[in-house]
Amino acid sequence: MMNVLLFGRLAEICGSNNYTFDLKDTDSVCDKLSEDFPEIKRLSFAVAVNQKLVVQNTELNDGDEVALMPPYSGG
Amino acid sequence: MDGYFRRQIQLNEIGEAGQQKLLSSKALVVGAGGLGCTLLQNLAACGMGDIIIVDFDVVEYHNLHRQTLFAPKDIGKNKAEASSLFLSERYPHCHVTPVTEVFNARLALAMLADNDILVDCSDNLQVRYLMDDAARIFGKCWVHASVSKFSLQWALFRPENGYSYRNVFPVPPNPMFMGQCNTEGILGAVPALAGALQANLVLNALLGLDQTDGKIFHLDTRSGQSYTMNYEAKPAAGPANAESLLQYNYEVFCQNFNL
Repeated sequence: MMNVLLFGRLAEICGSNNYTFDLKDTDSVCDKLSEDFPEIKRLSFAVAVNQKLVVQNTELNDGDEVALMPPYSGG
Repeated sequence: MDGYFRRQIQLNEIGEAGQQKLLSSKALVVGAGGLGCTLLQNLAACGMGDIIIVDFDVVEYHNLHRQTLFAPKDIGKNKAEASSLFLSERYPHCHVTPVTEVFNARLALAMLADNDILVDCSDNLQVRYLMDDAARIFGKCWVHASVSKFSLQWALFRPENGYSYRNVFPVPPNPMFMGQCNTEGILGAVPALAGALQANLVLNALLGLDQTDGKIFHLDTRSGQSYTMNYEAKPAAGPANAESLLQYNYEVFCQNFNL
């Protein structure tokens, strides 16, 4: 199982800032959330595994923490 | 100085040398809104020698609850000019210059080389990517912060070490689906907090105290939960020299979102 942290608009759209999934990689996490919450397909966001930014699909292991962080723009 | 800065000079990490460094430093700040008002006051109060404030916008009544450099008498006045007046009166050691124009590539090229650090206090993606690119071209570090309702992000970028905003967010978000203060609302303490954290990064960077290369920070002010995202240094995309910066169409780039 892996903990998925969501920030900002992503958390609002998905209705929580925290989900637990059992999925094989980061693409699967994004696909699962997009399937459940299609509106997030319109957002761009950075993906991190265990607090490190990943720029390609990354394999996940039990206990990993995934974070999806959109850029903010308010000032 | 005559004791004005005594309490910060007392810090071993600053001392007289650090204070002199601040007094001889020059910052270019884009945006005198919710972030900028707090940041500017912090920088001016602690002895920043020179601050250039770039803002084309004017003070409106609904700004006053969070943009605390402004009073009702400032409504309708340019924010760069109104904030400069406030800071100059209160902090005479700080030389403040208002620029009432839009921050674009031409302005960046004209002003950046002369500054020690750049700060984006705007709510504008084009400004953010332009500052990231211009900072890289000029070898300047820059400080970012932005808010979304009760949450904030902030970071220092040192392009000479391979760190840039484009490393974390290579594709600009679709502005149609981003939260903005004017559409989703904002509680003044949140951008004030972000502006103070930005000011802290500026001072740390100028004093050689920062330890934040490769990190972007996030705070949810409701839960107090913080998060640090680490990223690798790498060459960033985007214009590589002054000439290509002038040619780069940030308006198009920032609308080139993924749908």
